[in-house]
Amino acid sequence: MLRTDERKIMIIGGGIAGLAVGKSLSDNRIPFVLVEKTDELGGHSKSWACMATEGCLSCHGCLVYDYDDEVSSSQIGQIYLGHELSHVERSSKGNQKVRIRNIQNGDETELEVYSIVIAVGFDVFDPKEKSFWGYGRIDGVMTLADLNIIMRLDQTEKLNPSQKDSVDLAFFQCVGSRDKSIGCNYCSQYCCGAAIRATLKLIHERPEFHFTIFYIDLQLPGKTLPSLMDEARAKGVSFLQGVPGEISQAEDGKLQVLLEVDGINVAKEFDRIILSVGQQPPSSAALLSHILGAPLNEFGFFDTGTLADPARSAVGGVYVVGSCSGPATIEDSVLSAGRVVSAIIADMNEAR
Amino acid sequence: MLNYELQTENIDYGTQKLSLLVVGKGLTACIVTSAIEALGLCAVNTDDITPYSGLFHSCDQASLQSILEPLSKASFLSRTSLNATPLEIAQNGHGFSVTFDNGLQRTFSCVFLAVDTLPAPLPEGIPKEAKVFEPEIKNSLPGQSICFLLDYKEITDPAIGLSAIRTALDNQLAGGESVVILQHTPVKGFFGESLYESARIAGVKFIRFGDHQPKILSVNDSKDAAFRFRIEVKDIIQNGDDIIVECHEIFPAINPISTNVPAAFKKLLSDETDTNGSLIQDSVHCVAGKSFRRGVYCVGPASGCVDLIQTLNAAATNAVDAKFWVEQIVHNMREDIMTVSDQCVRCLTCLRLCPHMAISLKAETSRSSVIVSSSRCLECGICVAECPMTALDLNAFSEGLFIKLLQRLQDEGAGKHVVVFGCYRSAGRAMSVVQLHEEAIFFPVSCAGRLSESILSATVLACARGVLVLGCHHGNCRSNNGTDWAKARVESICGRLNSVLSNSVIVSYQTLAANEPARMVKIVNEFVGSTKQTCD
Repeated sequence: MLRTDERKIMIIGGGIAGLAVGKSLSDNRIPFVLVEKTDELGGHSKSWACMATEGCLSCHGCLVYDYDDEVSSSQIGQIYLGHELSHVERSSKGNQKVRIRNIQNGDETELEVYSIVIAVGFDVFDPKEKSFWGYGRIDGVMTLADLNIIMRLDQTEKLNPSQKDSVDLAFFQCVGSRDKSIGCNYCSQYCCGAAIRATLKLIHERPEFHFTIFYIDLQLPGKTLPSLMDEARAKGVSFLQGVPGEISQAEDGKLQVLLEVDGINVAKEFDRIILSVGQQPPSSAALLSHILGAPLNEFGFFDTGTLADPARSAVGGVYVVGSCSGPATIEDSVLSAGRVVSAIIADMNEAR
Repeated sequence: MLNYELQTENIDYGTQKLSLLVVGKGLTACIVTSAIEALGLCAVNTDDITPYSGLFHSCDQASLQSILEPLSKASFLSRTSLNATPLEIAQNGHGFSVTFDNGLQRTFSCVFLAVDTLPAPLPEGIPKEAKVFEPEIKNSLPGQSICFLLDYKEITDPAIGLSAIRTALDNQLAGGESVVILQHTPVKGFFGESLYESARIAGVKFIRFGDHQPKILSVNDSKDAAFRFRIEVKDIIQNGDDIIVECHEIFPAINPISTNVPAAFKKLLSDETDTNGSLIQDSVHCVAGKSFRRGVYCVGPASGCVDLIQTLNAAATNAVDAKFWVEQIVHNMREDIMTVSDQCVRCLTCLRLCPHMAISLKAETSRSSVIVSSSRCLECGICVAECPMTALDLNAFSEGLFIKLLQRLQDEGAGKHVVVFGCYRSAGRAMSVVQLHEEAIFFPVSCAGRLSESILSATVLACARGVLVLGCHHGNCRSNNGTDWAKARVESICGRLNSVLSNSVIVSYQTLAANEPARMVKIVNEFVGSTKQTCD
């Protein structure tokens, strides 16, 4: 029988979900090993810009710094950056033998862990897959991720290089989400909120910006988004149902889209169009699924069976957290981390 | 600093002071109780609990059943409750002292508010014969039609919308007729698209309206009128045609509102409501319903959440957090964070201002004393800054450190530097990736709330050319209002300085987050520049 301090939990992935699990394990004095394939903790959340205007808009992006600090300074956590899981020798009782590989030099390290948490997150949809949006081909078409980089660097003046008095920007929602033709007929969960917050932030900094948000259906779960949308409306953001099918460049360099108004096609021009790119299953999912025996669902995310127990995978001792089991916001990921740690403690108590 | 050496295996969680109080009698209380017990902790219920609640929504019937099953077992429900309503919840050392309506007084380590609320009232414009949608409705008789109305005046939460569409499908499959009127088709991750598809195939009629709100009329002109309601709606999918829907029942799907919360909690959490009036603020530090008052949690409808899965996650997350608390109480695991000197006159300013309920009064006949709970304290220093006797100090961010800074400023001569005070979790982290202006001295503090007026004015007097305070954004402060305290103090000092020193020194306040390093450089550069202009 293993003592608590001999039962280490391995977390695969150092994004917000993995860090939140690490923080909570550390609080509860359960030792952990965190394996991250890149050279930095934080994942996608670390590249996110602050969305605060007069006050915080609760995008939860800055939480990643709090969790990173707590995990990095934990006395009972080991962190392996630039590593990935390469082998697992499963055992029904006690610890499992696992090997992790240094991605740079291929060196392998052997570890003994009690259970494994998959926290590998998501990949961002590449809008080049659909050429009619013109991403990478037409100047001025960018993704929400590109916009975040500009906002983070505090270079929003780049969105208005000729210093015009009025700039028209548009968000295209559901780019790579709710799209059966590419196997992504699901909602990516974060984009309505992200677009609304970004418009509020940009209008706050640059009153000359005017926004149109093209959407399929607005999804405003939770407590804050409905009031943020009301605020965006009040600040002049127009919400239009239906995402235009194609972006073309007009002769004056502006971006042109065709809208149907009362059955007639009308051309509308924008200076910039931001594609709200969706979440896709992580590229590492297939290999990890093979190594751990944890199945994937029809969309390629880790399958957690019913909604009633989203923390446990189909394999004993393997847990799933955050967006690798389905699109999630930062807040969702943090909540699912609590659920996973609760399952880990409950399972440990039962095994005792 | 946490002590990890201690073993927790031999803790008796059943002892009275370590038990957790669960307030509520419905499904939320069942979920919370089960989440607490799954971790080996001991829950004490105010009331007998039953898992029925018509308020919860789930987009998947199968999971609803598998959640309800263990919560419906007699072995789970046959527990003794206190059978009492809490009247007052006061902080007591490391835990809470709760007074009940039957005179009972007991100590608990944590308190969970898990009360179910009443359904939201019908919105204006809907006839009073209609009923707000609840997930457990009876199917209509064959040939009878039921209308489910979403997004009326306010976008319906996707969890509630999906629950309504699922019920519409069930009703259709049971031989009734269902019409769903909506503005936005709800989807939630993988759920939605397939449900919508199955409902359409089963014959559920969907009508989508645009900017024109549907008009709902009660048909009561004839006693044996076949239909009770008539709805006039413009269907944007059908080119904006006016459509008239007639139905026997109409269920508007309405977002929850906060009602029915026990008075003791309203008092305890008086300033912690969100934009909708539900409990616990929107702050990023209150994820899952964690109050700023450490050890107090709110889960379920009273926190504005009727999504079943979300509530399960919140209950589990908070239970894990609570376990951490209970163990801290047992071991008093943290080193002392604060000192209280004998200058203290027990005015209790600190007790009133502490956002985390970390300070309590140990009442004695001869000399009462102020007790600081190190496990609760987050070192915001609001109390230190506001203490009228300067009797309090933070050990890690002591007054001595500020004195050293002032000494340095004086040694280097008048007007050479501007001092930038910044909260470590925002400005402090941004600092790790930027190089500030060479004339700026950065001084990290545990929270902008620590910066008392006396520290700010002393820095000005110690020959700083300017003082810039960088707090966290309003609503993002880990201590709830430390940043707002800093803002008020800066404004107060500016007011006084301007009348005496005619603008020669600048004291300024700005807000920042950890992920705004570029903005931080800009703010500091602009500030340094503005102090130069004033000097010139």
